[in-house]
Amino acid sequence: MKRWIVRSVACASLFFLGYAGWAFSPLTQSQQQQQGSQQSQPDAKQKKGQTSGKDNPPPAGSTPGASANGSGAEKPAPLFGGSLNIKTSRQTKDTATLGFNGVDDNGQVQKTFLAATATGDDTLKVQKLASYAVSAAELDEFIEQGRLNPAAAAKKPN
Amino acid sequence: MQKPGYRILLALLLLTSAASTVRAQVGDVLRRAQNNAQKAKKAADIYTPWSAEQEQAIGEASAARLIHIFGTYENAEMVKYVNLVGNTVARQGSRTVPYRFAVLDSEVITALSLPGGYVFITRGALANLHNEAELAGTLAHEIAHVDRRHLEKEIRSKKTSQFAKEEAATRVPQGAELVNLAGDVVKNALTMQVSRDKESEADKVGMEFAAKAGYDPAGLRNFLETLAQASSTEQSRRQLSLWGSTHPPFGARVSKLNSLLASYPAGGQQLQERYSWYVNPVAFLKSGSAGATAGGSSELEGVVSQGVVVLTDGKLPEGTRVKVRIEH
Repeated sequence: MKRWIVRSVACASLFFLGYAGWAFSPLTQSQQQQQGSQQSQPDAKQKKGQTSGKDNPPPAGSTPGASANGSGAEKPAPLFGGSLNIKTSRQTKDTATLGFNGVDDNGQVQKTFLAATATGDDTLKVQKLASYAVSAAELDEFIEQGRLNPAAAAKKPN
Repeated sequence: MQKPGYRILLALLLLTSAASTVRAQVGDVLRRAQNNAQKAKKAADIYTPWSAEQEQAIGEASAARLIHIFGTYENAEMVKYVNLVGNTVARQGSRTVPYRFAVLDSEVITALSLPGGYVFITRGALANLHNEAELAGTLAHEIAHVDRRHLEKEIRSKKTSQFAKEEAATRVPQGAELVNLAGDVVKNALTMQVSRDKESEADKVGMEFAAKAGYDPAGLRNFLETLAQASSTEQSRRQLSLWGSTHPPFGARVSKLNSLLASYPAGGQQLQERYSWYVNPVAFLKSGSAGATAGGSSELEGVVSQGVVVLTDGKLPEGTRVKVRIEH
């Protein structure tokens, strides 16, 4: 009799433990999912980095004697055309003022420039941009000349 | 004999009901956690945008920093033309922003925008566009970034500065704070891609702006196709590297733009001739350089010989339109 009671209690305990385990299972799963997503984030970032690196044009190797201003070994391309598929706005006789300005041999912005602070002269140049602002009359005339759409879209408050 | 059986059955029922209660409680906790996560995501998306004053201050400081890097290409007629095309497209935007367009003095092929309506295109990009519709499409993409506050959202989500972290800050940043913020904005614009969904949105919205303005909506697609077909020379790679590091690959964008184009009716202005009139090789010449006259103008010198203007230094491609001013 006692043995039967002990067996029944043991069975009930096992059943309860199993049921409790099922009851708490969503918590465990969500924790696993969270952990999984945390683990996968660096992988995804790494993969994204690899993909973007592949998609981006590979950095050009530095040619000895080539300079940012186009002097030296780098042959200046003719203005607006030439053997290059991509056109260049640079003229045949290059000068120090014409060139890539601000980027290194790989076409990326030079770190020194990126870290540099703007001067008062730069701020003046920004403010000077307002002088190129077009009046409503000028814009209307330009649109009419080009046979473009004179209607402007409705604006929402800023 | 029967009594212990009943007890066990009763115990099992009690245990089952207890477990059900525990499960329901755990479920509630999980649902609350999910709701809180959704609320947090919404809070990140819906925020108080920078005021017009804040946006202008940050935009101006960032533009100064960008000009410090590349310099501006000073050609009043060409810059005015870029402003006219840009403003024609910007009229289709949803926000009232005082847009200012400028040409950056670099061979690099790129275009970028900053908060406050500062839109830049490089000399190198202008040299590779074929018509006004392509220019309009390129500027429209940048205008869409400003219109949808994409860069502002990126800066705020990265929380790189105290000001970027602050929600609904009313002060206009000044001094060192403004300098640092401008640094973050420019660094973001020049070295990082905005998220793919924001780039796709800018392509879609930009095409809409250009089409509504009356331009051929295929302008940006056509320009991207030109760039995608660029030869892989050292010079081309150098010209396109910055674009590549801040925008998704050409192919993916072209195919998306092609699918969007299907929903637009054919037509729209391309205005190749007007583009060539304002953006031409003569205009790219600088003072002090061979072929250009002194005094800051972008003109070539020539003499009339047997009724034909002969350039004293320089040769222009066939079909280039020029303006002639008679010197006495």
